[in-house]
Amino acid sequence: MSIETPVYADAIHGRCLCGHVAIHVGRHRAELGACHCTRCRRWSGVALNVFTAEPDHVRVEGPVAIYPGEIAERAFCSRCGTSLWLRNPGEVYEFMVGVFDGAKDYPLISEIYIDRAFASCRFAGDHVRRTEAEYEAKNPFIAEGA
Amino acid sequence: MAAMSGACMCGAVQVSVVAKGDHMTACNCENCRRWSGGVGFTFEVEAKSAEMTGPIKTISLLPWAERGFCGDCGSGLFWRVISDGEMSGMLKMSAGLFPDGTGLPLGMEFYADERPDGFDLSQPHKTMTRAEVEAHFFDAGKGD
Repeated sequence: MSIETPVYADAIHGRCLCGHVAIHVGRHRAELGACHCTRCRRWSGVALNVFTAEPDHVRVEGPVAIYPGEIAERAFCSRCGTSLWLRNPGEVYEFMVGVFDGAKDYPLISEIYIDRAFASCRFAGDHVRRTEAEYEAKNPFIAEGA
Repeated sequence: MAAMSGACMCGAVQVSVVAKGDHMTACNCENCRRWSGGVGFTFEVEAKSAEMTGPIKTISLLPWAERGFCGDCGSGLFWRVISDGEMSGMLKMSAGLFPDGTGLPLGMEFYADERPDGFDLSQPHKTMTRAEVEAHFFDAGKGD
C-alpha cells in the first residue's frame, strides 16, 4: 500500500448515527487520507480521515444536508449531524471512515496539514506526511487561510 | 482556568467554555466513531458557565445523553449527559472547535481495544477497553 499503488475494494455500506441516512458504495479506494486543516478539524472534531469513491459507484438515501464550502461541499445528516463526506462538485466522494463499519481498519497512507495537527492528535505509522506549505504548493487553488 | 473561545466550521455557532479537567479524551465507541466520522475527541468543560450561540441542533438517541451540532454546516459541537445521577449535566466539547485543540494533552482513550487502525494515536496516554469502560461507567452491555 502506498500513494502510488492504490488498493481497491468492492461493496461497502454506511449509515449515520440515527440510521436515517444510508450510503451504498461500490468500488472504492480502500485506504485512508487524514487532514488536520482548520476546516476539517472544526467539522470532524479533530482530524478528518477519509477514503474515496467515484460518483458512479455511490448511492445515498435519506435526509442529507449539504454545506456548500468554499473549497468542498460537506454533507451531514440533517437529523443527527453525522459527518458523511466532502466533495468538490462532480469529483470523487471523500467518505468519513467512521460511517462505514467495513472500512474501520483501512490503513492510513497519507496525512496533510501535519503542521496544523493538534499536539494531542498524532497518528503513528510510516505513511506520507505533508505540511500546509507542501500541500498547497502542489494544490495552488487552495487557500486554507485560518 | 481562563475561558476559551471556539467556533464551528462555518462560524455560525460560537462557543465560550472553561475546561474542567486537564486532558483530552479520545473515544472509539461505535457512536462516537460514526457521529464524528472517525474518533470522538473531546474535553470536559464547566457546564454552568458554557456559552453557545447560533443554529444549534440537538439529538438524543439514548435516554442518558444528547449530542449537539451546527444545523448549518454539521460540525459536531458537544456531548451532554441529560439523565439524573452522578454524571448528570456533564458537558464534553468537541476539541476541533478550539484553536490548537485547547492545548490539552491526550490523557485517556476509551474503547482502545476497538481503535481503528488508521487512528493509532502515538502519544503516551491511558487507555480503557470496552469492558473496562462499561464496568466503570455503565451496566455491562449498555454501551455509550
